[in-house]
Amino acid sequence: MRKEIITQSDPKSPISEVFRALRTNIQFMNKASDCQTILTTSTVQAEGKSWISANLATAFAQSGSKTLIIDADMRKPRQHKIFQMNNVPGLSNYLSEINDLGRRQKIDGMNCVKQTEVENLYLLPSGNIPPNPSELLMSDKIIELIDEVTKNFDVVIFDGAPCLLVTDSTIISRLVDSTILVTSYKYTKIDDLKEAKKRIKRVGGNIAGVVLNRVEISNKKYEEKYYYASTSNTPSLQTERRVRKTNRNYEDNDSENDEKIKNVFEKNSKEEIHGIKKQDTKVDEYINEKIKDTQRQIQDEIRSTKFKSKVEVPSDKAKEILDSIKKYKD
Amino acid sequence: MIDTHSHILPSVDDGAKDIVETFRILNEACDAGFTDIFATSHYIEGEYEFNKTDRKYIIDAIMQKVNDEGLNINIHIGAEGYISNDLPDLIKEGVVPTLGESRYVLFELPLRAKVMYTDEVILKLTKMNLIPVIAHPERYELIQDDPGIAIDWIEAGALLQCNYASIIGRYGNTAKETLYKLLDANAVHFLGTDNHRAGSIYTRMDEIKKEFRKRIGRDKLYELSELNPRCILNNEEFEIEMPKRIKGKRR
Repeated sequence: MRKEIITQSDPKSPISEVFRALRTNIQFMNKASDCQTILTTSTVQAEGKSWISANLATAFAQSGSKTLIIDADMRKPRQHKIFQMNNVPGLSNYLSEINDLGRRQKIDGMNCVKQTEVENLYLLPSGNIPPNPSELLMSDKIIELIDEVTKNFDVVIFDGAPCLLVTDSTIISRLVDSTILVTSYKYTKIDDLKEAKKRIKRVGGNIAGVVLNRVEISNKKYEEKYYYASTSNTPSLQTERRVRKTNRNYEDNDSENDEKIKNVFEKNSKEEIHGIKKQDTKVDEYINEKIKDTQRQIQDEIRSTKFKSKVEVPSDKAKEILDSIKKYKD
Repeated sequence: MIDTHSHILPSVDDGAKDIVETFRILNEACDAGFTDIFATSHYIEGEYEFNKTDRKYIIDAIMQKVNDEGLNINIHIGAEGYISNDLPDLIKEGVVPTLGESRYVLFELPLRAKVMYTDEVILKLTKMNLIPVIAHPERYELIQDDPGIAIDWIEAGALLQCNYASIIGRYGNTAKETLYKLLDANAVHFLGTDNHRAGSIYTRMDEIKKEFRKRIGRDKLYELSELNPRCILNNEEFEIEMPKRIKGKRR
């Protein structure tokens, strides 16, 4: 999962606080129904819809609500990137009844829902990019889907496409309880915003409010962290790399291998500790170095067994080449 | 210098056509100052399908001859994969080798067509604890139209390998301009020759290096041609600096 989910990676930061406040506001706004369906959209692109919806969804999930985020931007999907998951099968596959291999097949919407790394948070990715997203959304299948997911989840958040550029979001807005308009500080035009409001109202949509994103905040006033998080929705690559670097060494899908690494670590570090006098100040350093070495060795070993070729003899074509090499200047 | 991209194995792909040409290329590489070469012959399903075992045998045989000749050069196993949904599986099954059997995987995209699933392949590879290296991004129409996509790839965990000869305009002016943009954005991690024939890129290295020094300076060139590729040889990770966002057209 990328660092973009600030509510998860840094729950104590002021920015996470803002998301929790937004969550509470929405919770109080809607009353009657058991499940809340929310659409986030904006006037034009690049105003921060996906980032806002991902973080808002995380905030809901953290409050204990079973939350689903649906990537309804079938033109430029981003949620699967944020949560680092596979984009297919997804919404477009469900709506079009065409599976990710291009074959006709009835697909159950709930089967496309995937669990994310955040507890209580599920993602329905957008699926393959279809040529006609608006038409797909006009079908009755979307209503069936909403009926089905509202039975299974407490909160459903749609991450929509910009509503001035394409009609996708306007279509969804009449099906959901409330719509949030995301705007960007010094970027969104007020006339665009009015137009967006008009369009949503016209189809009978219900606007919950406007989120003002990317407000500049004085560096002195707040911690640097706050400033950074609120002004840029793409986290520093370096931080992410560093995180990944430390995680990756331990990351392996194969639990058996995990176990193997762990055992050897424990064994090795114990041995080293017994073998070296405690008063030596460099012991820690030395042990860390040793652990790294072992780690590297084991990973090499795992790789060589994992990626081992099934054939051991060269093919006929390769044999011909080998002969020609042997003849060279012989 | 270490070459991260070459087609020097005889009749394995569209590179060197026989062992005589292989040795002519190797001699040129030595003269140009290369000490290590990754033999990254194409692996394209249905077209060039020499597997890891074949490559190992062929490289071993050539290395014997190299030692007999007294050439000071090392050839390491590798492949230039062709992007497909099967690529991660082919690596897992030990058909397509990684660069020097390290965690680095070199693969290319079609030059003209737009592939929609690049991000998925990158994701699959990183999940396998591998480091994807995308070959010559500056040559793809997709990147020439919007170099920002290359930055997205880096953010997703991939590294970029650009071609030496792009800087002297071998692949056209657009490729050259795109290489400039990527270099300026600090988005290039390795350089490779992508040499297919004798008497081509290895013989023009002086001119190429001069151009690179002019553009990025001596130290950066050393980093891209020696230090970073050395990390592949040693199977180590290196600290990646954040690339700058490239201004201009976004999708």
